[in-house]
Amino acid sequence: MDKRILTADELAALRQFIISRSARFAEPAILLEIMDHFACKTEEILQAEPGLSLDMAMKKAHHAFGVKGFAPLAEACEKAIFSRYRHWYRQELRNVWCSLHVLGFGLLGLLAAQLCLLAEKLAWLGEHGIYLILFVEFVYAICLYPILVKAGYGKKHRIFYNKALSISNGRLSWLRIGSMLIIITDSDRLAPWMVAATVGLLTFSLGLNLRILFQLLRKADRDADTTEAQLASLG
Amino acid sequence: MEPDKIIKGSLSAVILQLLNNNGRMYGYEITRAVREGSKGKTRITEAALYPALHKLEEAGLLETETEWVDGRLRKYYKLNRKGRKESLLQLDALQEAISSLQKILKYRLKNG
Repeated sequence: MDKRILTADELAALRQFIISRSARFAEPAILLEIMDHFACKTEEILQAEPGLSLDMAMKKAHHAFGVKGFAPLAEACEKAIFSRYRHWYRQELRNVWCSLHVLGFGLLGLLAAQLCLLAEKLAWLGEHGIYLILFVEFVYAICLYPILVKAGYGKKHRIFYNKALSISNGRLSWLRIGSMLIIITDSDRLAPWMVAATVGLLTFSLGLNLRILFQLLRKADRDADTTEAQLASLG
Repeated sequence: MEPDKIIKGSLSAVILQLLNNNGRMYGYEITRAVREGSKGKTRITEAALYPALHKLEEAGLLETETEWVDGRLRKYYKLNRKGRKESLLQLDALQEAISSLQKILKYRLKNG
């Protein structure tokens, strides 16, 4: 007996069935991951019971996935993407530390620290002005992630951009805590050079993080293009 | 106790050994191999299989390649050199565990 192979129309129906279960499965990377497994299962059911309608075969195949349906598969797929981007982040971090960028960001940090000291000396920003700079950097570190996500970076293949942003954002946590502690500390307790050093370090770290984030977003662009091409071939 | 539960504890060893024996395999093929290999007595669900596959991939034991088959994209998993070594280690550990288990099940206290 010939192996039952689903036609293009039947595959389209399968695709609709998967998407109809949850909006989460409409994400192309997840859809492609589920599609083949679900199609194999449906084909096997149709092979065993040739009289069965496609709708019934799909329901039976979906039932065989267990009570959580496609969710564990989608979750595993998301975790795998996250791990891949985390690995790339570490790789990019090593690359940046071995490149001239680190020198550039170091100089930028020094410049920020010098400006801070100068501002303190000349009282440009008032008595607590330096804290204003720290506060701006803190707000930047807090807002970068939600703003980029809200801007809908990669509307169609959000999963790649969100994972890249989420990893980059996670690495800023210690910076947020550090700068927050300094902001809430009484200004009289800290020497101006300590605040300037913190501003310099923050500028340096945020610069490095931003550089790596852009590299990750470029990788996300490539992933999105590949997935888009695969999805287009699916019809 | 269902045999599935016992197999689940050694799922990574099972996957590695299947890939070692068959070269490259795709997800559905692995579930079918477990089902047919155990003559229908053991089944692994997708909920258990895919996280295990991704963990092995993350550990650097598997390589993946995608191919168009029957109008859809299929992801094949295969062992790399590190995976082949790990497969042998896990198989030894599994066989040792089975042999220990058999001894435990036959054990009787001398004065009992």
